[in-house]
Amino acid sequence: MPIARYMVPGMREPISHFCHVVKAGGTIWLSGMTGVAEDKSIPEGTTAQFALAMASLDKALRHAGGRPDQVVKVLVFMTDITERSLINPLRIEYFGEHRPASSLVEVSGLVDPRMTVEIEAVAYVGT
Amino acid sequence: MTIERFMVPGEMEPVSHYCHVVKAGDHIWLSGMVGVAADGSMPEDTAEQFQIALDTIDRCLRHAGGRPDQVVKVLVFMTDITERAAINPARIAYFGGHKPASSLVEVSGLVDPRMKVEIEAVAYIGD
Repeated sequence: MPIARYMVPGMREPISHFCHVVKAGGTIWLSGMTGVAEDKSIPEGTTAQFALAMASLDKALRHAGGRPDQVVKVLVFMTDITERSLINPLRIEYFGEHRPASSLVEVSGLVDPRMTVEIEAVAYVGT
Repeated sequence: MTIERFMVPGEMEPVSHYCHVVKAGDHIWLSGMVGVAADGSMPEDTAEQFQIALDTIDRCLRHAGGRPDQVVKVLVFMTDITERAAINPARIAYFGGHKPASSLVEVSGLVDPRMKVEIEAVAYIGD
């Protein structure tokens, strides 16, 4: 069974040895996405960063042939977990009734000290 | 292609926009589970919290049609990684000869400051 590994055109170059998204069998694996804008700037607010991260997630997911209602699992990293309610409105808007399984933890750092939130995801598109 | 999303009766209401467990194709994806008892209380002890979390994993896993011997991967978050030996007896008792792949990391915080451990898991129920 082939494994497709995608570098998505227009998306920020991965900062290490990974690709944006992998499709393997009926499953799509999305790298952790962060709040970096197209001009490489990073907004200060966690809400704004999360919106950019979700936009990247969506772009990579669709590039690999998936849709938001096919996301089955997310893992969210935040540098300040007391801010977690800030990202809920967008989670509700994006996933709607198709709630994924989820974990959310606070970490002491992300790859850039300005980053405050990161999200990775898995989607199931069937075979 | 079928994706089933379960809110398991009797389990703690998710603290954000997610569900307890998702069954997608041959895989079962379990949200991060923590040490909150059915009455909403939380023991101080890490081993006790972990037992509750693992019991929750078990109920949600079975609710979705899976068994402990079908768990293929776990991810454990602890707020004090020096306590990791404390959770081993429960892991051994639960998984027995069916050791899953595993990662365990220390995080700076979980969603409630009293929480010390969280575990998420993936199971494979195909033939």
